[in-house]
Amino acid sequence: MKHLTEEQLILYEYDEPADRTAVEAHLAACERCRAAKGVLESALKTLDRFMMPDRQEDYGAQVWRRLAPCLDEIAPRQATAGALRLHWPRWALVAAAGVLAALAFLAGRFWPVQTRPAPQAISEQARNRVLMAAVADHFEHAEILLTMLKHAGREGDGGKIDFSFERQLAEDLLAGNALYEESAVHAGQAGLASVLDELGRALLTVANGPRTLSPAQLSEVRDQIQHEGLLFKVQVLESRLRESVEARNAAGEITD
Amino acid sequence: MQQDEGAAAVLASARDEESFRALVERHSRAIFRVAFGMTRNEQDAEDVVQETFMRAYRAMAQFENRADVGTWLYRIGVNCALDYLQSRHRHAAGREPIDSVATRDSRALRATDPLPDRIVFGSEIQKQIARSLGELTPRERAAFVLRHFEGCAIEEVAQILNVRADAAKHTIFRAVKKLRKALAPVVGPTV
Repeated sequence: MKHLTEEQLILYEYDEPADRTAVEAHLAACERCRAAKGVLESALKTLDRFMMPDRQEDYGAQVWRRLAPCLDEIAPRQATAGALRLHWPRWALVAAAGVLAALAFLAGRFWPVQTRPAPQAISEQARNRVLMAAVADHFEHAEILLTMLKHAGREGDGGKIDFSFERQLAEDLLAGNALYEESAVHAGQAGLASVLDELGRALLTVANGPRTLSPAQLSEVRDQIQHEGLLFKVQVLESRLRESVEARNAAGEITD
Repeated sequence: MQQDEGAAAVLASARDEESFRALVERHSRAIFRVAFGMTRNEQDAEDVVQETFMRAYRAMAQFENRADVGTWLYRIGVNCALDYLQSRHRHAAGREPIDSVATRDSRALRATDPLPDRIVFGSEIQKQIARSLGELTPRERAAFVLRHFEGCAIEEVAQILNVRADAAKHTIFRAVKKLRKALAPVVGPTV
């Protein structure tokens, strides 16, 4: 008699075998496999009973109480970016972001190395803060995507890796990235433009790539990101932009 | 975790704080279980839960029209836990939640044992479980918790871990086999 494999028993325990009836028929006739099933069940029940620490029914409320103050801090920039994405058609968002970005960068307010013509300084400052917040948001979302790429398909699982999720994210980020890069170039911000260019290439690789990647293709993408230290650069720039926004917000409280 | 929510509807409503609060309250325990299963440390798991919802909140606008918000949160949670473990490995090599414990006592736990013995033995089992989980990779722990404790189908585990279904299935097999072997001293070997 051919006995059941441990894999078959595991699938049976998890109610996922294709041949459940055949497994049940075998178990009814085979004492050895019934015993093996008993041992497996016992191990899983032991894990049920002892592995997880208890969390009360109101645990979610406790998490919320800890989380809510942190959300307050990020809510304004989330609301700005979210509202733009939610209610504007993509072409309008792209056009508006382009105008905004060009104005802000060309006005030389991104980093304090340009001359400062005074007219309409207040509204430009306000626009500039929105722009920097938008670029920082862009980097933040890119950071999430890059982190996902970093962890995708680990452990040499061998087969194709479904990349449709990341691909869509990359597409979403590409249009904004191109605009921000162009604005940075026009404004002479070579460092920022360079990082945006690197990011754009990584986004393009993912967005234009297949919906599934082989481990080798995934490795190429990951190498590109890691070789160029892209994730680190994005994190650093995001942090600098946030600091800059905060500084300008503080100044805005006086001048606006 | 509930599977009946279209991400578009849930995420759209979650952009306001009250709705996001409902999302947090509904999914926190599930994310905690996954985080604990992966980190094997309650405080680390709490941190991962916090970070997961922070990332989710920040990324809401990017994640509209996705298939299932539960799967999406699990995925963020798993990635957060992986980042956390990587960071912990870098900064505190060797920090493990449970000390090494030899499997001296291989008796089976019986309901009729005296209470103090049962408590001591329960503690031994917990240590044994902690040791056995240490033999799993983080991804194996994630796959096991998602399938065993969260009841995710293999297809969903695959989505969360971003692997093919076959790969997810074999990751679960490896995890269960390792756990079953490691727990053999307390539940008996395979016949």
